[in-house]
Amino acid sequence: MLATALVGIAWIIGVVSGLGILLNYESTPGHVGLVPTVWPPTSRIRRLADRPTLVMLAHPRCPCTRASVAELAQIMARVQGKVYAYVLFLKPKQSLGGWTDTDLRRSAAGIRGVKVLSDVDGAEADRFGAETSGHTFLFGRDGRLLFTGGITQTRGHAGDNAGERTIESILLNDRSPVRTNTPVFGCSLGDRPQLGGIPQCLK
Amino acid sequence: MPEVAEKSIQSNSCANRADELFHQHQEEIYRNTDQLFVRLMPLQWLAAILMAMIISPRTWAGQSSYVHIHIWAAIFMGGAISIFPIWMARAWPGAALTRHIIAVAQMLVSVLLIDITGGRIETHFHVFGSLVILSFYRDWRGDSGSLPGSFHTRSLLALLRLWRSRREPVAINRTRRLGNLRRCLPGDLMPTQHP
Repeated sequence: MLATALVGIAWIIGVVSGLGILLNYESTPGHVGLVPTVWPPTSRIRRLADRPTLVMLAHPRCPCTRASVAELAQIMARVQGKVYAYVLFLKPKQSLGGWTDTDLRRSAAGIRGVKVLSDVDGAEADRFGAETSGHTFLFGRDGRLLFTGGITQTRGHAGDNAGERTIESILLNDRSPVRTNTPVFGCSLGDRPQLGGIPQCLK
Repeated sequence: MPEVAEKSIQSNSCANRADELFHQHQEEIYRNTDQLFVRLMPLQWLAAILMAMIISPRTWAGQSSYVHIHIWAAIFMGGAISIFPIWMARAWPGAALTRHIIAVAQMLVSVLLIDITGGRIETHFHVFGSLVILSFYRDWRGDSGSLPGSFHTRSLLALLRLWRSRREPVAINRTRRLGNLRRCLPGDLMPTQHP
């Protein structure tokens, strides 16, 4: 009986520690750079003034970004063409042809109203200050930043979240945002270590 | 008088025999269901590893990739979750504690599978499946169909509450949040502060 009790205690400690590590991994956001408060003038993406523009920077092989793309699909289905949306997939210069041709890219390309582009060597990611896959930006008709951050609640988990609610609230109700930045959960876009943070903006 | 006493003795022994048979049958059900979980646990463990290998084998940082934490979680956590209840079912078959350990382990398997699959709604059906199999114990004491089922449901709810409280930091420091907004938004876009 004593052996059972000891093994039981060890089991509880082991399982709780394992869950703690998982929970910590999934709730630690990725690193974010300095985000411009207006549309970056050097960007090669065409921004039209008749509708807001949404931009998501993504890593084509990041498993966590599947949830971000799934959330983007939900947003696009709800806002029904009230926004121009782009998903920019990282494409390192030295990468082979099939490196960016992934199921994630195909999923994003399949979302109605979303244009998928390649971001060669992360040039656009640098312009937008995105360092983590799934970082999403919403710019108004006048080019001002309305929202920056992630659209998942934790790493790789789809479901209701603050980022999605904020974007939908801005696009559907034309309301001033209650929360304009959320943590971004995803793989690093560069070969940099992952650090937590909430987007900081350039003045 | 002796006839009445004899009938009473007969009826008592009949009731005792019925009780004995009932408990024997109940014990058999408990042991059989324990054995069912002994076979199910390794299968779930294997399924967790396979799912992790298919869904999230590697994590990326630019062009570098590493083994995803889900693979390690499936191997080590899945193993840790499964081995103890299997051992309990072998060491203490039919015991109430074994049923409860199995119920908690089954809930932990649900949590692990839901986590590995990125919270997909389909994986949540593992919880319902688990409750169905736990109801095979026919241990009715409890308020969720069965005592192990009640354990399973309550532990799962407690864990989900904890998970949600981490994911949805309601008590987020409002000042810090407004501070972040001020850094990010032009003055005319600042939201009005609600009471």
